[in-house]
Amino acid sequence: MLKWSVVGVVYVLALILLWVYSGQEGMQNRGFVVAGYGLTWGALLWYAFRLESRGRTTARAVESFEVAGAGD
Amino acid sequence: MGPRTTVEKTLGILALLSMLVGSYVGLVVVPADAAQGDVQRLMYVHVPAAWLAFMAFFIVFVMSVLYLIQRDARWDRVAASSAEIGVVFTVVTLLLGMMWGKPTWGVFWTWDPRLTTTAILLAIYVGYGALRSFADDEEKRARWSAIVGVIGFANVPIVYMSVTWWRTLHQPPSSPRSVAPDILWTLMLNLAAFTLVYAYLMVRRIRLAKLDGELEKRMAYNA
Amino acid sequence: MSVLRRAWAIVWKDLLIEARTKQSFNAMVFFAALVLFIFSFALGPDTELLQRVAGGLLWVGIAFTGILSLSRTYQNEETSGGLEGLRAYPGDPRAIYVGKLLGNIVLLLMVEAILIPAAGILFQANLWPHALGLAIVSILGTIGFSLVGTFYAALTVNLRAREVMLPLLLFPALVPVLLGAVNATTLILEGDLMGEAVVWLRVLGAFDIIFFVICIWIFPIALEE
Repeated sequence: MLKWSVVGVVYVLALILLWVYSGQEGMQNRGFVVAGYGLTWGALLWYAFRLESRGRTTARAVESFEVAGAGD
Repeated sequence: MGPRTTVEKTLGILALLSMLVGSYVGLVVVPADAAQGDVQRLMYVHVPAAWLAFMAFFIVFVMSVLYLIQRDARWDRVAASSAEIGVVFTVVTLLLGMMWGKPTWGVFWTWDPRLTTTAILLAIYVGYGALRSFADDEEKRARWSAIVGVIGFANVPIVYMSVTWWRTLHQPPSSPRSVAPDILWTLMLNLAAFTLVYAYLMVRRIRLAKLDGELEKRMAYNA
Repeated sequence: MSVLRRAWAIVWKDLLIEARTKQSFNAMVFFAALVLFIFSFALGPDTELLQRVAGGLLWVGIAFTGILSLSRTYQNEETSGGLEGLRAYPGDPRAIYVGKLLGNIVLLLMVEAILIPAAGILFQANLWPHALGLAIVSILGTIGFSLVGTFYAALTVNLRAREVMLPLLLFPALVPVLLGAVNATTLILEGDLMGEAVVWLRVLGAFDIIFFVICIWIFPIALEE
């Protein structure tokens, strides 16, 4: 539930940003630069942390099979 | 996935540090471009991201060929990892390109050969990922993705050439300006940083792939 | 060459089944006509606009229609397992690919024979002076489309959600074909004063040759147990 709320918030934010940037001419360029670098860092960090979290989940799943197997 | 090995830790720290330095130089140290202004700073992240995306997919191609010849699951794991990371870099590339394009060209998108090819690359490797998620049998999944990995990449030069022709027939290509040394070494710095990030992510992702394989095996035994 | 003979046997069988049941052909023609009609309707009565986009819309229609029939390429052989029926064929599996490929090409060309004149009417483009050029584009484009389509259809036969996977895999791979076909068609319809269409025909030709080689080469691997 929390995950989907975050997704929803990000989506709405993205739409707002798109609306703001689309409408304006002669926009101050720095906004785009900051957004761009932020996006790059955000995406890479997000992916790296997701990898770790997936790793933990999978490791736990593997362990649970080991425990179950040992009981046979 | 277990604690990081020394290699992984070193790679990770180097990647992080170099990215920090690269971004700092790109944002603060290097002077803004005379013609394009601050927006040009986006090139220091956009170009390396694009380059790494392409490298990642090239590696998918090589690993796919290797798998089809040797049928070793290791190549399949590397291919799948590289494809996933490649997709991340591709999305970043496209979004950065759009952010650069809006202030520069006035539009978010244009049918420029490289943009178009990049978008198609995204479609190809998203398809690759979808194919893997729908194939349950380990061997079939590896074999089919390898086939898609080979065909998909073989198409890239053809697509690029086609789109280049298409654009040049209607529009003169933008002339490349000679690159100032400041810009060049900042670009190289960031390129090195992104490469280190790719390497680190690959190492961790391949470990995850191995773990996934373990899980599948155990689930099969217990089924 | 026995590969060709076996391929021909497959083509002949499939076309006979198709001629008797007309299962694909009717659906394809109807769907294609519907697509063209909706496009023409949506774009309105501006003749000049219609003529300009005729090439692109024609190929969109052909592509969608082609996908419709591609997923049924191997349907005649499908048992509950999917590819088992195909693997039961004796001899070189490449014959299957060539046979199915030819069947798809013939079927699609037959649909186009109806579709192109229909497009001419709906988009108010005079096609007769350009008939030869259009025929060449049509053939080269259809071959390209069918080459990749027949191949990916085999790959996805056994896959879950294959109705989604086939277009997802196919369309990025078809970009050069679509680019080439649309541009060549549009140029030809405009009279092609500068002979640019030849460039696109070469793109189509190169694609056809390259992917014929690749697909024939890899097909046995796709079909493996």
